Amino acid sequence: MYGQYQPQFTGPQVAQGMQGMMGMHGMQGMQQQQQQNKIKNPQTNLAQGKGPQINDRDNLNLALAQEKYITDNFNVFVREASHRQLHTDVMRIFIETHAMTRELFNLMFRKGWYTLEGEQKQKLAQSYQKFQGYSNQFPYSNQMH
Amino acid sequence: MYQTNQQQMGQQIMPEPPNNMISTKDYLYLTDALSWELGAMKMMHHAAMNCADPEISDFLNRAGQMHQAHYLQLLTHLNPANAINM
Repeated sequence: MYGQYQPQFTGPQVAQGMQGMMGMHGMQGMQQQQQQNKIKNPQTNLAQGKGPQINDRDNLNLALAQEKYITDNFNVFVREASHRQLHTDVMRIFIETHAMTRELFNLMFRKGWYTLEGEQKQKLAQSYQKFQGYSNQFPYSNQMH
Repeated sequence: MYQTNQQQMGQQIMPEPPNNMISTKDYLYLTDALSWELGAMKMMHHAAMNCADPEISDFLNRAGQMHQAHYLQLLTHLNPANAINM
């Protein structure tokens, strides 16, 4: 779920933040258009600096990694549980942990440590058309649109 | 987890597993999950102590407290005094 929000461990500067996103999309030529759609808060200064010691941003990234590990594991746990009350409890813990993970992401975004890029509207519209076209493959004819 | 001996024992068919039995698989995941929660609460506490920004520190402590609460909730499933486990 958070695949597109990969923390950027490498970037010492704002511009570096772009690198991860560019790499994922593998489209260097689109840099200018993407920069226009860049969504980002001003980066919060780190009291500990950007040296080898663990700073606040590192701590949040480590916490995020910890929550990802836990939600991955709880996903398996909740699926495998046989005891009814245990299943109910684990499901609730799973949901609460996801909610906390989302808050963590929001906090990091607010601090300016996440860069998002809006995809081009044209590409969205193209894919909308393409997938809408697949409706002729639907097995249930009464739910075309 | 759905194995029954209904044919041998001449029992009625169970619509779902009994509510008073923690399976071996449940047990193994439970003990694993307790370790995940313990590790998480300690990690959050440690990180919170080493943060300069009080907002981040508070958030990490809140996350740590959540993991501690989850630990206690999971632990009730191992408690032999808990009626649901008897």
